[in-house]
Amino acid sequence: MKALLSAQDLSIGYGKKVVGERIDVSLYGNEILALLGPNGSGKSTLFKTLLGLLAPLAGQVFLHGQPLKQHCRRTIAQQVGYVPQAQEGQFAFTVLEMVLMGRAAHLSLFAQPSQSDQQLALHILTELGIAHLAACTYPHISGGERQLTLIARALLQQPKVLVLDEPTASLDFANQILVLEQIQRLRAQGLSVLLCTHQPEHALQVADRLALFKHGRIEKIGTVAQVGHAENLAWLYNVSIEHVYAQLKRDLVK
Amino acid sequence: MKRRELLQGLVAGAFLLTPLARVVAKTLLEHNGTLPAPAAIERVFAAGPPAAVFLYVLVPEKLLGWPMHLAPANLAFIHPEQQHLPFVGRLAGRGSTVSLESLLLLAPDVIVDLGNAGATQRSAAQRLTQQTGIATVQIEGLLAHTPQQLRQAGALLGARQRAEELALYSEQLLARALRFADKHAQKPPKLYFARSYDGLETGLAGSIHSEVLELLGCENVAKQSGHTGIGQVSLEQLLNWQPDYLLTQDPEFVELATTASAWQSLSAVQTGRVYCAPKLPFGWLDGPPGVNRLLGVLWLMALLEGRLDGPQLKQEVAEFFSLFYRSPNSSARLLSALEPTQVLD
Amino acid sequence: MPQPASIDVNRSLPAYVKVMLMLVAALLAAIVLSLLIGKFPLSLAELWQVLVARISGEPLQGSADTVIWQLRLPRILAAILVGASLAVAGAAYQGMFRNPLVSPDILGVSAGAGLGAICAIFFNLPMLLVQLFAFVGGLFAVAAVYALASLVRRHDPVLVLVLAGIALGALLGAGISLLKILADPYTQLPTITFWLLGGLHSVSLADLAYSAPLMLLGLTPLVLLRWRINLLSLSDDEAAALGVNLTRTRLLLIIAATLMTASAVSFTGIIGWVGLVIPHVARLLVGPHFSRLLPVALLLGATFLLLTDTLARNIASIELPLGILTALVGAPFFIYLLARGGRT
Repeated sequence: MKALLSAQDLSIGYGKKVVGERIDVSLYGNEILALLGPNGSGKSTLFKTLLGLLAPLAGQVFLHGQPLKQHCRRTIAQQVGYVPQAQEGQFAFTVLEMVLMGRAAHLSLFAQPSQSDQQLALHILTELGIAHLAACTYPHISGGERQLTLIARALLQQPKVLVLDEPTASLDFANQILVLEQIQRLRAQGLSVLLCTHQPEHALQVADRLALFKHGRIEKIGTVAQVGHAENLAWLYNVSIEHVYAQLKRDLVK
Repeated sequence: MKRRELLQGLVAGAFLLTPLARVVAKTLLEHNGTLPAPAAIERVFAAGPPAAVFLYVLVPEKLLGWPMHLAPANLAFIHPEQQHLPFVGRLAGRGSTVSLESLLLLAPDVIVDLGNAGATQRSAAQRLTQQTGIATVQIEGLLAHTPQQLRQAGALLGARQRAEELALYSEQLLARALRFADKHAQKPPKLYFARSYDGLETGLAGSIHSEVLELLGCENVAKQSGHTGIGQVSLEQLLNWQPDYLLTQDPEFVELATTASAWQSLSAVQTGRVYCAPKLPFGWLDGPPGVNRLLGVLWLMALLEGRLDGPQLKQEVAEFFSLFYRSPNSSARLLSALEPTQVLD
Repeated sequence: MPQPASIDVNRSLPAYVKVMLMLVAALLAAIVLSLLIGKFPLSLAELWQVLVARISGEPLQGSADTVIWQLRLPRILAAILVGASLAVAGAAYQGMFRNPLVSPDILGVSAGAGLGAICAIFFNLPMLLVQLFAFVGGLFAVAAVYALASLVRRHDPVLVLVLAGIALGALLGAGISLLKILADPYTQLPTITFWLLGGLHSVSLADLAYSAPLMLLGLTPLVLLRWRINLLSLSDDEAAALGVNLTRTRLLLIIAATLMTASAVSFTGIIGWVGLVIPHVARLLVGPHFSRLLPVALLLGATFLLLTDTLARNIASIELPLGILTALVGAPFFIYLLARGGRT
């Protein structure tokens, strides 16, 4: 099978500071790949490099089999949508204005979103269940609603791949469920999703494959059944297996 | 003798018209620290440009240096002995450019400043004397007080004879100015003194920048109650004022006034009454506001009497240059100083 | 969904239209007011005659015609153009630098123009050269800041730009101070001081003839980019991930805003606070979306400066420097904004 987004022998970091080395990872069509790793393992740096926001120190990232650096920002954005962790934002744009910014990759430099772009945005907002917020200002909605807004914005890019940076961080329980459901729904619609999270149970719940990221390396990668057992999690986070069981309080894949 | 008394009376009468009338009765000098005996004063530091011009005409041999940069054009009219005086920077006023250490190195016997000092300047002078032990002298008064200023400062600095000579000349000139003012008291000419490149900056009525105009009884059209500094005006305001004459010291402005279409609506421009005063070796009408402006009195009187080109002004100017500035006298040079005088017609 | 969302979305449109209509009316009223009052007494009838005569192709002779057509109208136009330029450039910069407390001279355009103009004043050059030096100085300062910032890599480029602007601004400010010390305190220093305080008192049609096209040239990319500018107020990573070429868009914006500011400053001197405060007020009225912010800031800036300038030329028999009046109004408002959190 051909990978949508893949890294070959990738070294990541900032200038002389190397964060990760010899990373090989591929995202295939219609799957959810979850990246798990302790704090400071370099997950965000890896994501930025995969998105082309940060140049790799060595190795290459491929989009549809072509080196990422051969693409311009526009064509990358047409293929890959990015959902950062939601911030409050300096200016009070409305939710609809925020979401429409996702059309940038499909519009020329001086163009504005058309009526059909607006229809598409409203359609996506409706699907995500936040259409009633369209005229609300972004800084004044809840964290979960902001996260959904950013997902809607990424969806407006009409990408093949969605990259989510800790989509459930700092959300309440109901919003966590809401966001995870939506991610699964999107996969069902044919999208490929790459996400990272600090909550292994979320990964186990929605992901098809897991990648365990530690000390700047992808140490283990495979299906949830292959990789997602308690020993691996205990090893990954440097805790005892009892702690993993006690914390997750649910059936783990044996 | 009688004539002199009469003149003095006339000039004193002028002071009664000025806000400084009460100062005149007393001394115009204020000092901090212990002054050396007049004969012992050999080195005098001029705190600013007006004081420098004053000291240059009164006690040139005691002047330590220039507080302002003088271009070759200015220096051409300066006596050779003072041409090579160093630039030493200025003391009070808008930011000192001389350090106290270099001041001590120059070792002046006394520091002299000219002009009406405010409380800030006075206390700064006091502190300077405390710090350095050098006596400071402030010479107060306006252009009309020039004779008193010269006499009193002459007595203090050991130059009585020179001071008397200059004071007598000034008295005569000021008396002439008064007579001129009297003659035109019924219908004083309306003047506008343009400054800056756009000509829309001006010394307001009552400011030290338009003393020459007002001494001759002219009406400075730019009046603002409660404000006597430099102000900005608009061309619309000038059209409303319609001055009889536009004066300036800036040839660039004459160029502008005679070419820019909006200025053509001024009757002074239409009738060709735009005049640029010479500014060598120091400004004739202003800049610095010192005794150099006595030349402006001569010039403006000639202008208003319509004899700017006549031989009388040339002779008077030559006389002033030789008496006050002790210029290396050459008529060709004097003519070049008068060169930008008339611009129109 | 009980209600289709489109109703909610379009609710803001009539409010925006209402604001725009009010602002256009306010600007027109300000123009009429400004035409009517001035130091040269003109009756309504005279004003009407002069206007009609010139429009019908037979201009009247005399001062009234000059006052209206050569003095008041150019000055009104200049106030509108300058106010609009400063406000729009300020709005663009506040979005681009993601900071509502940024003004159009953040990249040193005013400091550069100031040094240029003051050099010309110092060397007693004629008016046209003072303006040219100011314009070139402004462009040069911003180009230097941009080049300097481009040399620094691996830092937040927006932060680097602002810091480079502050550093170069300080350097140019030192140059200005040096020239003020060296200038003739009796002739040049007042001129320098007045220039730094700004004013429209010497505006002529000739000034407008060169500056208006430059301002419009700068305004054009801002109008064309009115949607995409919004993306620059996201974080760099977000904007880039949405497909924005940040370097190119930012450069285009800087060139546009600099062109507008430099051509305004070149013949008015430094007029502060308009570019800082007006975008704020505009944002309070219609929100941060640049498609609406631009026209509202433009009209608001034009009206504000026109009214302030009308005040400046009528309040006393001399002219009050415009920079003083704009600061008198702008600074208290700025403090008020700071007090309520500096966020809109």
